[in-house]
Amino acid sequence: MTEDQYNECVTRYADNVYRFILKNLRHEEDARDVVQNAFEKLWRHRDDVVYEKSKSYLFTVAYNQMIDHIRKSKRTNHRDITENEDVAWSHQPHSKDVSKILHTALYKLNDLQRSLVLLKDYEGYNYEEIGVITGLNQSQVKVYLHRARLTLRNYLVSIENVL
Amino acid sequence: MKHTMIEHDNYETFLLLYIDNELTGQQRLAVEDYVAINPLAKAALEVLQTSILPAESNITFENKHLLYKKASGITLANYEEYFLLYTDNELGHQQKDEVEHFVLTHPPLQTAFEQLLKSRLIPDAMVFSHKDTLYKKHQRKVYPIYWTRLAVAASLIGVAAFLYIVVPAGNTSRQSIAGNTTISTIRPANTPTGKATTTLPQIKTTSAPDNADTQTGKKDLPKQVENVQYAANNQRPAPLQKLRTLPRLTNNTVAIAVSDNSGPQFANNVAQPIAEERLPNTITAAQPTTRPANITLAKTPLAIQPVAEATVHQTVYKVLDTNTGEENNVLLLGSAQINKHKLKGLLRKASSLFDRKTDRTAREKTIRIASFEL
Repeated sequence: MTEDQYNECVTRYADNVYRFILKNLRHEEDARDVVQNAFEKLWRHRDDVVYEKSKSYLFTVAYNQMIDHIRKSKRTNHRDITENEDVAWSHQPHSKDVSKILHTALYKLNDLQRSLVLLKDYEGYNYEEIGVITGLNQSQVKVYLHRARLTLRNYLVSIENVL
Repeated sequence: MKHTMIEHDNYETFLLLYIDNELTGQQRLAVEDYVAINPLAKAALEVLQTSILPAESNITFENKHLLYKKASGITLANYEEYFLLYTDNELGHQQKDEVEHFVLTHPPLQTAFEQLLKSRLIPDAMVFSHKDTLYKKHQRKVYPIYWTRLAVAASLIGVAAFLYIVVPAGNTSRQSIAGNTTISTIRPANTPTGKATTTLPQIKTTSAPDNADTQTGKKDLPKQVENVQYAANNQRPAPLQKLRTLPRLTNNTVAIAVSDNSGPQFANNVAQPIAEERLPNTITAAQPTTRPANITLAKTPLAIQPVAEATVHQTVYKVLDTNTGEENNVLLLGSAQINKHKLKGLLRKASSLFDRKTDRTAREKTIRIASFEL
């Protein structure tokens, strides 16, 4: 990968990676650190990474760093999640904004299921590509993702029934 | 093992095999008979039997239907999977059409299908604001310029150039005047008072046949002196510039004081520096017995009044030989001491560069003063 290709990766994928990490961590500074570390690692290994595989490489590195960060933060538990946290999952019963409810329901999932849903809906990866990024096989991705969707659907249904 | 007898040292092994159901019927009977007559063996068997885990039959695999190899196509048994695959955009065009057709043909399932479609997230437009920190800029190759080395080289060149100009300028001033002239000296003659007087050298032209006068050492002042044309080079001898007053002469005669009675002398090799004993108030000239054919002299007569007396005062300048032997080899430039021999060698090389362009073979018999030949 040349320097120009690396810069092209920055232009094309920096926002996507940042969005993915931010939706998972819900902390801008931590998400920024993860993104920068991911691109720095891509730069260091630019001779080993093909330009066509750079996106999956970035998401793989970012996902692994995100998992490490989550495990570390769970041990320390000092961080307050205040940024980009969607409100009104049950405190706004009259709101019929499905997207807001959906994003609220997103955080009812565990970290793995949430990552799978984000990779699927935000980035459009298929089961195989998601499996490469998360380290799962294709069947596992399929099963976990289906469970996540059913959970989201059940939450939507329950809210709609309440409404 | 079939024929092994159960004894006190091996009955525990038989008990383990008994509870694992690894013994044949006859061996199991043998173990049961042994346990019946041995209370210790019986107690050990009871303890081993409590360690057997019970099989839990209430645990079932929920997604067993995913493991079955089923016929292609959506059915009532597998519609949910197809709905999920449709939501994940994992179906081909044909399969998507089948799902859509199935939903249309089964209205009760349309709600479930729509609810699954609603669970699909819509991407948010987010921008990473610190993207500029990620870019890698082109790194230009930096070619170092060793300023110190350049400064030292420039200073050395400047010193060499300065010395080349200054030092040879002092030497060449004592050389003969370069020009299209022949300079002849008239040997000084003694006056009646016994006082040695000097006579002025006679500068003669081709048109003035004064060879005889030169050879006889005419005592009188020359009456005609051609206009001396100095060389166009920059080696105008400085002391000549300081020659004061030339006596007023007539008939194109220029008087040049000669203080040395040894007669005219020429350096055979003009390139060699002239000794300081001949500086600066002397102008050594060749013995003008014959004029070289390649010398042309201009004729610009000047009105010069003859000088009555033949005596010529000594010039103001007088070279004082104050340099010692060691000091002669050292040239002081400020606080720097430069070896003259080395410097002369350097300058000699530089002058040789100019000489390469000229043909020196034809000049073996000529006298060279700076760039001019006589």
